[in-house]
Amino acid sequence: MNIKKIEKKVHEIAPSVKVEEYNGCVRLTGELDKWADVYKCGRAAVCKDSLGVLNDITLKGYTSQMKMPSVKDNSLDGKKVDVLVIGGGITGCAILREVMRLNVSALLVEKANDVAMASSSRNDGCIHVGIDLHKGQQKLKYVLRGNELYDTLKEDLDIQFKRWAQMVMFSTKWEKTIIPPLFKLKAKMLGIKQVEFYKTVDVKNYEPDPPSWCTGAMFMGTGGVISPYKTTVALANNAIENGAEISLSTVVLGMETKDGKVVSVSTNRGTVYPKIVVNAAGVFSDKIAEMAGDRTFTIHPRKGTDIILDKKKAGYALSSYNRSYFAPLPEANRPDVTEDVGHTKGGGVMRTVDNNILVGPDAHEVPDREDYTTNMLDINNMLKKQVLCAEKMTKADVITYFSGIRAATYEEDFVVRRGIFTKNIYEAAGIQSPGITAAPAIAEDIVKWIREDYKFEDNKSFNPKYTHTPRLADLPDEEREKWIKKNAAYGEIVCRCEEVSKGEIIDALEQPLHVATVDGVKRRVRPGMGRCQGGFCSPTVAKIIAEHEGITVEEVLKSDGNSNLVFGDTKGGNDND
Amino acid sequence: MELVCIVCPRGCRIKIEDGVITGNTCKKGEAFARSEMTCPMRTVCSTVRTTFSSMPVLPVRTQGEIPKSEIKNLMKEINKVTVDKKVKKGDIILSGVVGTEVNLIATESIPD
Amino acid sequence: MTEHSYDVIVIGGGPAGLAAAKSAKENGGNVAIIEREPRLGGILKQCVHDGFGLIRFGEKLAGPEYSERYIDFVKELNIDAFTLTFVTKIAKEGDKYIITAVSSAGIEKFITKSIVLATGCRERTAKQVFIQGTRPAGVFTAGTAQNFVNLQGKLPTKKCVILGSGDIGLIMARRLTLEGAEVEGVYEVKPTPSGLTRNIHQCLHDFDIPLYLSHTVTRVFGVDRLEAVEVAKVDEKMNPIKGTERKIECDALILSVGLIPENELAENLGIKINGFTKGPDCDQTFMTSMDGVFSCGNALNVFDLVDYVSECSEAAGKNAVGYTPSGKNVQIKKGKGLLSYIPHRIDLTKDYSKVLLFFRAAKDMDKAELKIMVNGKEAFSKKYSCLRPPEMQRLEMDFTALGIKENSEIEILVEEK
Repeated sequence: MNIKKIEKKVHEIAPSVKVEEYNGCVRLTGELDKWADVYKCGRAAVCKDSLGVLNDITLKGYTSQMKMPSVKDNSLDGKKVDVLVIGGGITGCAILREVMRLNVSALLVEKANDVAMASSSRNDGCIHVGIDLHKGQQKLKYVLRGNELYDTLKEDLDIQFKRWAQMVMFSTKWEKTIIPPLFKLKAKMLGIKQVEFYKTVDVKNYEPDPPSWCTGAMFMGTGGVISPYKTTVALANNAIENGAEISLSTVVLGMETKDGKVVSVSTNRGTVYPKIVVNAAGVFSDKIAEMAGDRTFTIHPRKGTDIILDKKKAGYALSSYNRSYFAPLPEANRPDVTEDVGHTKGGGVMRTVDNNILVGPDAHEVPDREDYTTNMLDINNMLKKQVLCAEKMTKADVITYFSGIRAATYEEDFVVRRGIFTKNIYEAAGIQSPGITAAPAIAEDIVKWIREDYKFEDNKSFNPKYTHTPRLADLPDEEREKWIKKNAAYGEIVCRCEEVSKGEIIDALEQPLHVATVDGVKRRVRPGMGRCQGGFCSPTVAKIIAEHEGITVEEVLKSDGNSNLVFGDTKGGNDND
Repeated sequence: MELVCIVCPRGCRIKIEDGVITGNTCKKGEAFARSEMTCPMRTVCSTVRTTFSSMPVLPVRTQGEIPKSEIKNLMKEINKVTVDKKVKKGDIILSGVVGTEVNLIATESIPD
Repeated sequence: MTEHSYDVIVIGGGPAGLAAAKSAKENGGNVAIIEREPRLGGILKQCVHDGFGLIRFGEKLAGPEYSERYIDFVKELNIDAFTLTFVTKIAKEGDKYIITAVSSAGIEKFITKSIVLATGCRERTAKQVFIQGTRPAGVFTAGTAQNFVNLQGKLPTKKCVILGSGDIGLIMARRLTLEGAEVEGVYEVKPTPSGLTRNIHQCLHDFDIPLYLSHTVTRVFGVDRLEAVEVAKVDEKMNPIKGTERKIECDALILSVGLIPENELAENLGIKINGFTKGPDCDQTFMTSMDGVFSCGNALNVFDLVDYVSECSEAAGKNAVGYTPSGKNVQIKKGKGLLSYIPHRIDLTKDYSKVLLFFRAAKDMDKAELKIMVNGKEAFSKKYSCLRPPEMQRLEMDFTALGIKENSEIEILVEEK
């Protein structure tokens, strides 16, 4: 590796940064005033023949923090397991479920009080085609395989998965002449099927209301969409049914390594002694790799915001589509200037499995790995740009919006591998977009390696099938009535916007992975996901949770930590008793 | 002095100059203005605790007006009440609150 | 699957639905109410404050008292009320409607000649007014806070900021104060209050709660529970002014930023929605663009007085019995100075000698005049000493006196003198 050449590139951005070779990686240290410069240095340090960039430059006046669980106990202390999975996102949960195909004991630890609390609930659920990827990228391999696996997962886990296509729409004549052959060639090289040019008339046959400027589109039929959080929950539930254990509100605080192996992992709930560690810690995966002595990469958080529209407007999109970026955006739709650097991701419009329209996402490099704040400028910019796609869209269609953080590495690729410096760790790190698509394929590989390396036997009783109460509002009347006759609570509608019954809420509370929060229930069965955003139903949902769990309403949490909804009784509390 | 009449939703803007009241559109408005100058009176609505899970708090109000200055004391009295009988709308929950002759009444019936 | 047959089905058992059902029955209709909640009464159940019924009953009643009077009427008239029953779809078959509903008994089908939609309204949410920042617990609409306090007896805040000076926000400012919470202030983005003046007086002034006009909440802080909000002054275009930001520590943000009529059932039926009221377009009988489907109460138009809700709903209920299909309609055009109005058209084949006209002015006006123009000529006028957007005006009018013909152009407007 030519460290001098890298140093020169980095010093053009920030001369004070120290550049060195470290364990086959390029390591950067120092302190800078601007996050944009920290990021740019990291990008400049990328080099094909190094293992990766260790960007340890700090931002002046900024201390990186991690949201910690509020509990502390010894519930895991001394626990021995074959496999410890760190991180309860879709990747971790897919690995946990997959590893149960082996005759192992497995534990997953997640620092939040539910799975899918970070990137796996803060994304659009798009099942990618892979056309934007390149040969040699890990992303490509896992996206192609993951995309295939979703057909089976849909059957096995009883999840919603729609093969709704992806389209890149052209706005000019020249694009539709020049671009399609390039797309087709790339698709052939990468092995992506169903990539075709669609004439305007074909687009109209597929898409209910395409933009008026559309001169044609690249149609990619292998695209799809899932609910990322419901899928993660289903994976977790199936893993538990197959004997895995999930410990929520559990954060890894440190690791003890000996002879190139992780011996123990300390958490806020005691020390665990695993035979094997799997790092699926998302935005903190570099920190976990560091603890294990196996770090070859750095996560630079890349924030994205998505806007959710009322399902009444489902007609805006069926496929996931965007305007081809080859032709410049009209002046009026260009974003107002921001000072951000990084990938100016296209974004677009798409329909979710629950029929909401999603608009976005955008992309901003930020220092905070859990910066889930939104701001008006980003929202305005996205609406301004995407009104090109959904031409009838107005601000009144918006029901909510959210931000997520992509766990990007400077190499912009996944880090899925066996441990390099540490023998008993497996990395499933740097999983950013298209990680939802890739997760089942990553799990497949990791477990294949574990099987090879440790010669575990097959778990003969593994049952890949997980079922749950269907969404009753989607059933024909006769079917729905059968459910209500079994349990009258299925006929008691609590959430009017999403038509969710009390029975379905109680079922959500009785799933194998027990999460009794308002948001947990919301992610599983949707009360509060609609246009009133829980205004009407959240007090009732809180009451149902309290009654079911045998707790008071003031003990019910919205989400994590101290997110209690209410503070106790009116009438001056219980002081007057 | 200028004030807004709260007798009805019309919200007349009433002027009081040297004891002369203008801007009101009804007699009640005039009476309101007079009382507002001397001893402002208010109807107070709240809830009281019950022992019934179907209605953990019961809506109540003062049957007439009480001095505005007594609202805090009234709340103290209200907060001490726990209803353990299935009362009906209009039933007296407290008689003669804050040293007046005004009763506190239920504004809803506890369902059977 | 149970089947029921009625002349009139009223969807919604709040004040509008109760009044509609009462009058439909009194006018000889075989009527039933479908209500999604366990108890009748609608949102009035949680409106424990008084001020209801001054016009209708000549008394100042609390919300539950007012609704219980109507519930008693409904009981006395032996009107069927299906509670905990949720309408999932409505289909038209010939001249009948088939309503499908879900209840704990199963799926129920209601076959009816006419329908009164009395589905009320919902509150605009934090995201619909583009509140930014984090997503903690502690951001409530005023109605949600009111539900916790008045129905469950639970305190959702110890110290809060209220955004929006709508009536529910003002009422909740007082209510929370009475229950021992601190209301730091009420912030209103517009230069004038949204709620009734009497509520500003008796809910804020009486308790020394400050009202900040031309202010908004720009940001929310706190990861799990809300910890603070940032407020800022806004310019004439309602954009926050840089440098005027102020961070206020509190545990809740309560929103009273507008109500939206709930008309998903109407929309699914293909009923025309009026752009100004956000409720169905209706004639003087409160019939929508679909024969036999009527609309009333806050689903039709957000009212500020329940007395008017009852009045228009009673008219809708009466008209729904043996209704007259749509005939010769003359549209009423919206002229200057108006925010919204009902009815939107006059059907000349129906009685139009006693038309209930409701309207809201677009802005505060002292000395204003309501005018109805027919073919560009003033056909009616009425003077007002003061008009304000939060205060809806009501008048009963004889439209037959205006010389309207099928091809007439009617326009309604308000002029400031």
